[in-house]
Amino acid sequence: MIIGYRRDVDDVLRAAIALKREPSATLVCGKNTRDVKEKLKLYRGDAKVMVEALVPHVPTAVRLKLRERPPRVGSRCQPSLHTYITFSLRHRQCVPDELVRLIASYYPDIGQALARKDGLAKKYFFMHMEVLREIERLKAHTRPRPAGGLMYVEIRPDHDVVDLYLEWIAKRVNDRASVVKAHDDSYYLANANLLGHDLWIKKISDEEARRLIGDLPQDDFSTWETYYDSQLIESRRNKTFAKKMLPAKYSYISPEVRLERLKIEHGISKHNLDDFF
Amino acid sequence: MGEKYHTLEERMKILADGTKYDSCNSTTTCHTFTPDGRCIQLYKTLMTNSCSGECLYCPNRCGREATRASLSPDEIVKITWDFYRRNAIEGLFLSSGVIGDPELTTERQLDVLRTLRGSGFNGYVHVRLMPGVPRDMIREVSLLANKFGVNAETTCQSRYDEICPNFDYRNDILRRMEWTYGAVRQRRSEVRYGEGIIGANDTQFVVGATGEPDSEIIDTIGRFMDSYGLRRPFFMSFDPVPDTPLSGNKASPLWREARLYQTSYLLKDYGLKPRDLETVLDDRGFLPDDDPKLVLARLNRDAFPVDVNLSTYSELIRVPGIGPRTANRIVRCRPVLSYVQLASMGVVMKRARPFIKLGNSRQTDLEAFV
Repeated sequence: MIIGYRRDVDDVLRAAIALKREPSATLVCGKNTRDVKEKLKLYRGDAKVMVEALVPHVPTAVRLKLRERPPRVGSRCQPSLHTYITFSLRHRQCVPDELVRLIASYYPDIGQALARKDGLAKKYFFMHMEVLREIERLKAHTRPRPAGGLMYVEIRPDHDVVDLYLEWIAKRVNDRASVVKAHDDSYYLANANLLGHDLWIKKISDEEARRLIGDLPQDDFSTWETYYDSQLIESRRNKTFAKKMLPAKYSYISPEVRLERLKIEHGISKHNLDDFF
Repeated sequence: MGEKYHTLEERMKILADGTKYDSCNSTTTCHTFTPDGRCIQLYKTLMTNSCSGECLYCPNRCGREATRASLSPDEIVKITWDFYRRNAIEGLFLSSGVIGDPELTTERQLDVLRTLRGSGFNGYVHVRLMPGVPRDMIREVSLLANKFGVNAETTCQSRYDEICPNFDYRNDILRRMEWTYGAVRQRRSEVRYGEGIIGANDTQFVVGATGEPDSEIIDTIGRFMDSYGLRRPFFMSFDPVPDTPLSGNKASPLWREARLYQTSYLLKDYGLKPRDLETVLDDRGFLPDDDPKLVLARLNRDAFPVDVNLSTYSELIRVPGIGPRTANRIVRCRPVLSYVQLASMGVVMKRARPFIKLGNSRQTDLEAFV
């Protein structure tokens, strides 16, 4: 049997239940229903089904386990299974079939997957943590800049977190629309409703983006730089600690962070050309 | 002394420079770090560094030769919004020199707050109030700011008179602290959590300006916490500023500030009282340059080691390396079977190991460690 399922929490759970019933089944994953159907066409044989035909409903007991939070152990809140699956699926190295097999191996006590008892569960736990950290990094260090009455920001996330970032930026800059350019050269408009669109977040073409933000002005963050420089207490300079807090690998996130990292490395120059003359 | 013309950036630099020693970070996201390793979360600025006060330690004291500048409320709002939209800050920390009288200064601070909140600003706002601020203005600030308070600077009337001759400790500071606490309580009774701004009060001490021992500072914090519901004391090490009456005094060591912060957490989060910390202080009433909690544990050796699976919450939090959150986790997740499990719960094993035991398993001997 060949089972097709979509790459979301609900279908992953259904696929896990279906796999438990039909252990020899082949799994086919797609981004959406259309993608799954197209992939299924490539397989020979008659026994090709969408997962919802096999498992129309996820049992309530299993669904309840999705949102259960284990007691806090360690310095962070423990994720619920829903968070675990959602963020694992967003990781660039995630193999959905592997995740489905992991969940199926624990079914019906699927909460055990969070206990990280085997290598696979551990691997997916770290994947979900990496995705969470990526989002936090983007929220902390991206610097939208004003352009054509809107805000403009470029992001290059390693994992599939663009939609989460868009939701966040729409709330953060709630009085203006923001144009977000993602790593695959696609453009998104957050708070699109402020510009008369029906949707809150909308994907736009690059022509539309260029029309909205105009010729992108050279980013002027001299005011911020002045403020940043003024906050240094020279006598307390601690290069090692500061480097640890702002690692060089964060430099890709924004030009400001790159410059600040340089200042941490080399210090802030107190003299400029004007002083010389 | 009049102000010369300065561009916006120059004024911003002068005024931000005046607040760089202020500790006021209270939010969670660190947007960047300065080369000294401190994180930047707020736009910290003075409204003006012109001041009618003659505080002996202050670089902005009246009559001192210094570059004076000020920012208008609109300029502060504009800069704050610009930084906030750029995702460089989480909010604003606003302090000021006293312009004419405290009422006028606070009115200008309120202008900033009203404009910011009126324009939909949801970020964090921390306001340093002026000594002698009127009660109705404190009330209005409590509606708009997340944290606010008057700087106590020192521990008692006589020491305050020595360094701040223009203000009265009892009336301009203590009474205002009482009012800020009243405003916070009123706000708490009016608004439910999550439905509006519920502020908290804070204060700041200049450590080492008048030679006060740490015991006095600790007693004062304890008193303020009991009487005025003080949420957070901040400390600023005294650093002699040239051309001030205290320029010849010795700078207070930075570690003293750090130890006082640690002590204040013991009072705030661990429920200790100043008298519990008396044994930690030396004969002259000063803290040693060591973690006060560790010193306290070493001095009470007969209370250790504690059995992680049998001891109460209050016994657990006295162990160095176990904080209130970790102690809470341990109590909820008992029985704990291994040290690895303890480490994964957040216990700093390097510090806690000599003071705890699991069943019959414990470190060889506490004496050997200390």
